[in-house]
Amino acid sequence: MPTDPIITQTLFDESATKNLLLELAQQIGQTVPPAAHLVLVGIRRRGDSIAESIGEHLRGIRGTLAIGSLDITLYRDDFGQIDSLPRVGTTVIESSIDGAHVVVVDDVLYTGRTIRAALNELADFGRATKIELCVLIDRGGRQLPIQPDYAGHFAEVAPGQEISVRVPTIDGAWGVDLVDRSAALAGSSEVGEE
Amino acid sequence: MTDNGEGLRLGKDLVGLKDLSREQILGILDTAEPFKEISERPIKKVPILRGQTIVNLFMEPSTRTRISFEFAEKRLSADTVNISSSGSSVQKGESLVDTARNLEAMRIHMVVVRHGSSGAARFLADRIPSNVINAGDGQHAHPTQALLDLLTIRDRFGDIEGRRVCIVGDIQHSRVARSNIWGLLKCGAEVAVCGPKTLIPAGIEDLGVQVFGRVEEGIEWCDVLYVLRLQLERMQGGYVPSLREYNRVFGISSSRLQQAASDMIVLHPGPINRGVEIDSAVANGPRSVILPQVTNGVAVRMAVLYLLAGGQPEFAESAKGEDK
Repeated sequence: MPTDPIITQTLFDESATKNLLLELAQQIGQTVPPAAHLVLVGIRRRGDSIAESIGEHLRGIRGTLAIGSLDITLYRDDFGQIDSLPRVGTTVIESSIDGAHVVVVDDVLYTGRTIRAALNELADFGRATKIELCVLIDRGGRQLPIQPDYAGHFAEVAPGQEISVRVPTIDGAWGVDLVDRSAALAGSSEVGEE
Repeated sequence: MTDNGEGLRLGKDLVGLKDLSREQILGILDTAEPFKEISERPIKKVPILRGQTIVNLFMEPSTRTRISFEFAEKRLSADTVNISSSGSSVQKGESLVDTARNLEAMRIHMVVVRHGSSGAARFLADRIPSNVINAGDGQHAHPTQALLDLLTIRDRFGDIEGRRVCIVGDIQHSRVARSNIWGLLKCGAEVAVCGPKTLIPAGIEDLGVQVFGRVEEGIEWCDVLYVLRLQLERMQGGYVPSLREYNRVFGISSSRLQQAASDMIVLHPGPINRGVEIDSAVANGPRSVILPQVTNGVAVRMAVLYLLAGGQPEFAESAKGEDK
């Protein structure tokens, strides 16, 4: 067995990731009507950092916008099926989303289940005129009929591999890695320490 | 275990804070923080306990605790049923365990129990597979009350460690005092009690609790003054000569609080006997956090329900065994 079976490959370094964020902001700025009440809602714990960054760029492109963060733990569809109880985070949505043009922001789009949960949660905060989805990386593998309106990059990723997005507030710097655990999983029957 | 506190486990039941570690207690308080926000939303409901059935089995009168649990359950989307001793088969002599077993036969998930006998919650928890939450049992424990008190203290001071808390009143018969003493000591607070000698349990100093004979000493010493309700039946029991006498010696009035630290706060578990253990001016005054306590009660109970519903180690372990 190899000593380090987890292989990490950097897909985007700090400056390349920052370019993706700028491009996403430009796309949103071109698409969302100037008169719309734009609310960016980042999904914790990394989508909120991405929403903040895109929001900063957007402030230079268009006028006002609001930024919120959403914790979807209490809307998950796998409660009672997971070994470890997830920590509940705080949801902060400063302005009402009634009549707003909401862009949900997350780091990686995979099965679509997180977005399903986020849409249900948003409905409890009001009736948005429009809700769109913006992700840094779309890795395919959808289990629900959900597609992004804005995606920084599409990466075909095999099962057993995962996309790991780094954000400054949690990981110290921006970056996107491809992590391959397939060798590690094949080499042991270990399920996880929980 | 990860860096953000995932994987907090409470076990099947919440019977008393004596059974919990400091980490578990602080973990419950941390979990309660995000639940506060749900009660401020336009739609005060999240779907996490959808399909779970919770029975509130209240064999003793209660307004605040029962309503608070019911709000917590409903805001988590659980289905709830309330049973009280009057109007149920308990009046016909059905035992606690028989009542609970019959409820389980109707496929429930959790029982919130309030009972007049000390130890009733543990007794029930050991006999049924559902989660049991103690909502007050005799003179033994009232853990969710103490948790909401700890949260209220932490909200105000940022930390519980090192805070001086003086509990005034009938310590002897109070499950609220007992649960608070355990919780506060585990979280690193300094605890003192004060009340008529007849109502201070012998040997309480052995727990590391100071005893003040005069309430003025406690007021000068503490950051948090915890005023207990004087249960009126204590007077008939001969523990206190009269309510007026109690108010004169131990009642918390504005003039007594002049000696207090400027940021000292006053807690009370309710219901208040105005003019007996606490004067109206204090209960309604700027030091009082009695209503924030009530608000925090819902958040703390949501956190406990969430943690117990999601973390059933016995069941989780056995389920894992089947998978392999």
